[in-house]
Amino acid sequence: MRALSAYRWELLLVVLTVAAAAWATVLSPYYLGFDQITYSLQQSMAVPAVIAAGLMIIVVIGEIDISLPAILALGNILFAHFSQIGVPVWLAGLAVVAVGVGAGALNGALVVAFGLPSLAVTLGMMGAYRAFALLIGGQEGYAAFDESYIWLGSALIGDVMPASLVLVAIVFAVFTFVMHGTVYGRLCYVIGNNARAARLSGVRVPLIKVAAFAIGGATASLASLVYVGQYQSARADNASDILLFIVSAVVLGGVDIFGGRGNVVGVLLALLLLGTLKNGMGLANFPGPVQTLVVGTLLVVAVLIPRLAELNRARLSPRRRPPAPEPRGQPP
Amino acid sequence: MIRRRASAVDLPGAERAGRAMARTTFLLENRVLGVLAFLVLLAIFFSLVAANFAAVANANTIALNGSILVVVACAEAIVVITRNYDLSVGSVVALASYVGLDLVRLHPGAGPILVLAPIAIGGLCGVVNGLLVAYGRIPSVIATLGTLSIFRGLAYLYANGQQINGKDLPDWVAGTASSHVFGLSTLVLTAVAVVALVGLGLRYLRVGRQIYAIGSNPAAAAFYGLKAPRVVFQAYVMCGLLTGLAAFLFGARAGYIVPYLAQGLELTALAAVVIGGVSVLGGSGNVAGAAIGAVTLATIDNGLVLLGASDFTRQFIQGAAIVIAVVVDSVIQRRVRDLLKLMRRRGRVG
Amino acid sequence: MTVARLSLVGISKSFGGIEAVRDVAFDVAPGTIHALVGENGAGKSTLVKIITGLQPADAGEIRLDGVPVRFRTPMEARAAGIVAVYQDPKLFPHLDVAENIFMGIHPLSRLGVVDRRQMYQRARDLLRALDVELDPYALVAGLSLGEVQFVEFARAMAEGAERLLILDEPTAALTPDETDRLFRVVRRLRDRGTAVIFISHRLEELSGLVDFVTVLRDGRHIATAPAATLDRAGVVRLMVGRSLDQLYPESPGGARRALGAELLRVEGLGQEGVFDDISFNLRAGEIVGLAGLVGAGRSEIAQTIFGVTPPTAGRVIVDGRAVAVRDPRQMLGLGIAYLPEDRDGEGLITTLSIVKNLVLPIVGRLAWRGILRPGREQAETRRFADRLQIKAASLEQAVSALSGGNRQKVVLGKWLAMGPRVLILDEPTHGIDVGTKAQVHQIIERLAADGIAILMISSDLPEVLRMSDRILVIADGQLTGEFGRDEATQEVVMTAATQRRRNRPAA
Repeated sequence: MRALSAYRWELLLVVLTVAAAAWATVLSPYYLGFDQITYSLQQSMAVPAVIAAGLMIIVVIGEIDISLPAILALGNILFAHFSQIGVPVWLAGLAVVAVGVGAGALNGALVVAFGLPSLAVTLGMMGAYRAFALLIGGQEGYAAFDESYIWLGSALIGDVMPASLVLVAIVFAVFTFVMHGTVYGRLCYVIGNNARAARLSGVRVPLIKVAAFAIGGATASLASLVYVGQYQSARADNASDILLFIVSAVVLGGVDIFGGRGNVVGVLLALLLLGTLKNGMGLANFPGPVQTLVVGTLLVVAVLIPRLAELNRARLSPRRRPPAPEPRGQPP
Repeated sequence: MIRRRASAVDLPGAERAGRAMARTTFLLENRVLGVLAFLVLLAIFFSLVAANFAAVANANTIALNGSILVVVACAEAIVVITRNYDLSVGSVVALASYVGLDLVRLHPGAGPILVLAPIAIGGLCGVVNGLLVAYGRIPSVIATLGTLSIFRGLAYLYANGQQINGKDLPDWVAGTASSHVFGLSTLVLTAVAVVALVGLGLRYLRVGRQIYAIGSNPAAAAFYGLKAPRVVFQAYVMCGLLTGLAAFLFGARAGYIVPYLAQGLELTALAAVVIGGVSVLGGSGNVAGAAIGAVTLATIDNGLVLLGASDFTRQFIQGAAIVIAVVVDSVIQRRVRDLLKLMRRRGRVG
Repeated sequence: MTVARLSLVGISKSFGGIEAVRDVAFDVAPGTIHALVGENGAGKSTLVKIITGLQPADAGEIRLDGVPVRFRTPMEARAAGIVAVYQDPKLFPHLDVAENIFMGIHPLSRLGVVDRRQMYQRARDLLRALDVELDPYALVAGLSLGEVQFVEFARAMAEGAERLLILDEPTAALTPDETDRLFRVVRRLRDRGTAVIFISHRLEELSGLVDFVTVLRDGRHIATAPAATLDRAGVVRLMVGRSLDQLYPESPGGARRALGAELLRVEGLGQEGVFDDISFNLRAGEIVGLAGLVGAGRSEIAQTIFGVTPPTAGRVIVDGRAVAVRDPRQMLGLGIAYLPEDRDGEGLITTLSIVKNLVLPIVGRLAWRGILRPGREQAETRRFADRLQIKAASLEQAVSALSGGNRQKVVLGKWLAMGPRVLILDEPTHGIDVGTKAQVHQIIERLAADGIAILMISSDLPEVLRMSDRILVIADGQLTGEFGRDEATQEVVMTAATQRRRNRPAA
């Protein structure tokens, strides 16, 4: 029973997902079919899922990277470009991911070298990456792709399971292992909890931080390999509204935005919830901005609930006032 | 007032340290001059390189385009000085512009007093942001990322697929955007007035000084009994009201008002603020700098268009400018950060 | 006989069961400068916090000019004319001097807005009254520590300290010149009738300044006497006068341990603005105590050796080879470990479990090619938990649930698991109950017997005297004394700890 209460949050996510699926089924009885569910999930959450995994690590170490969607767009353009000049797909894929790693590492290096707030740095880099995408792809981007390039985003393995969902499963399996079973993952949580104590214990904080950003960049460019196949479009302005989705997924997944807490499974469950919700909203013909409104509200509510609980607890025990934390803007 | 101080502590190296301190504070105190100098150099560069840059008509274009950004930059600056962000300004503009001007459309006889409508809506958005960040203690990035989508969604819901045609609005609305007073565009005058008023407010109102204090050293602010949540809340409300004003100007200039206007405005506003010398670490900078930053961005954009530069260059420069400005700020602020760390350390001692 | 400006009667205060001050009573006359002295932990800061309204007393009464008062906030105390200037400046570096002086108490014009002209004028006046050359427009970020202290002082003046001014270690960051200036102002205030409480451990400089001296020890009031009747030796005796045997049983004696090779040596070590010219060495099996008053710079010396901040002068020599100190990881690799003073903030990650904390430095070693092995981590943790007698319900529980003593054992265990050769302990028994303190002492002695060189920073004089084979005394960033076990007494150590800094010529 205790194990159950420790996973309260995850259970809640599962319950909400089931509710969302039920709602979707009410709107369209066809929804409950296996093919339908997997297809809709692929459409709504395959791409964000891959990036969310990378963002999660960055948030766990106590930073943020809002340039990930821009790295995605850059990846799109590069991938499409390779397709156009006839590079074999596996080589192109590797090259794109390498660029993503480089971009992420660059972000991390700037944050670590100058001690800059990660939001400001990645805000600037976001513009730079999109600009590069624009440079390579031009205003119109690409619309024609080689067959092999769109496989990842559209094919069905064994005619049953979308390849992109398999990729999501693999990515999350790997990340679960990394975060909860390796030294690196342990050190990420340590740094997110108390970077100063970590440094005094001999942890190589700068290296681990840069690596986290690099992994984030890698997932963003990995996601672009799916994106191209799914939407068969590659433009510099792709995915401009994906940031809210992945941040919400991470926060809803129970990852503490201040760092040091959260598990990978929670993020996956949150993605399933958001994906199902999105499908439902699509079936109910919610316009795009309204869908975004719902996700945004969920984000705010998800962050607000623990805060209100905390404030309530403080009010109930007036004698022991919890020390007021520093007004958290962006801590320098 | 620039002063050169030699340190009085008689330990080795103190003289060197003293000179370093003097250099640092010189840069801190006079950053706005630096930005202005940069703008002037930029203008000179463009007038030499681009054909029609140095024409009065062009200066006019820059002024008109930049005015609205100046107002938004002032709004954003207030929040950034408290060490927070407001990523929702674009959506606030959309919501306040659409709903506010729709109210104007529905009450054509009410007259210019209804300029308060979009301003009030902006203020309400600021209240929401303020409650979430100051009292809910939600990190401002997350909170305003959420409200960004909520406000725009509301605008969309309200619009219900419609758009507002500028022609359906009473004359005084468009008149605001196109009229001139003493030869100067009303738009430009409004922007200048906003900068002046906000600048004066931050300088002479107690709450203005407290905004700086809280951004500079929240711990010390708490010790002196400054109520940080209330001040941060007020900062967000101020930001919302000003954004509402910008929303009105936006709508007044546009031929059609749609719920998806001003997308990405928050990034441009932050860029203007950061370039203008307002530090994202809080506590320093002023609206004059933010305004100059806005004008600089408008100038860059204008000059690049005249040069026929691609969208790539413009976006790249905007992004690079932010990164460079933040790095420069961090270097300048090193002395400040060291002092803060020293104060924290001595606070533990004893 | 004039009524005392400040009268304390039976003031007591405990924090979580630990007595900070007990039954303190003395009077401060108006128009006098009254020194408050005592070693670390004597209760001076607590007393100041009670007088200024930051903390309520558990028992006792405070009378201001004969009238009983009770302040709930510093603002109430300020309104009554009581102002304190603390050691830690609470200033806004981005703002200028005048703003810092008047933040929260801005002079207002008729319109209700800040009257800036008056603000700068009054700032100028205040600074002139303090006889200090500071531009009210200067940014605080550009000031030296001494100048920052004067801004604090000016702020106290601005807040209106007419009745009682409390200065907590005001000269710590001042040059002799600035100190003289400060003293002149303080004398002027006294002559105007203000009572001044002056907390300082620089006993030499007090002699020409103060009228009365009050000595606290272990939270109790020991004596209050006119300054003329006490000499420095007398004050020191009052500060430390306690029988050692009552507190700690006789230690088995330093002869028990054979001292090995020299493991660590520092020569001329310096950190600009904090300490300079520190030289000493550590041998295997030796326990060297680093004594001194809080703020003398001992932690900074330790952190410099450990690589937290690289030194600005001098050398660190490990095993006979000079080392270019870069970061803690490097020093750990050389076998040097540092147990921080701030146990919960820097020594531990309180939100994580005992296991995760204890194995942190060796997590890579225990893992298999980067993959965690919880079994081995548990086993290793259990080994040290048993050896150090860590009392916990489960090794998986968060460290925050443990008592202070057990938390310290976890930190010790963390370093022991790594197998250090040099162990630097910064206040190892601070905030720990007596029983666990004794256990920690035993552990430390056992470690020395095993051949580890130990540098122990402690503000607890009896502890230092009992444990150390040698005692180094630091005062104001300089090494002022070195004593062997036989020659060290509380008085001798305290005298060295309160010594005035030798003047050094500017570079």
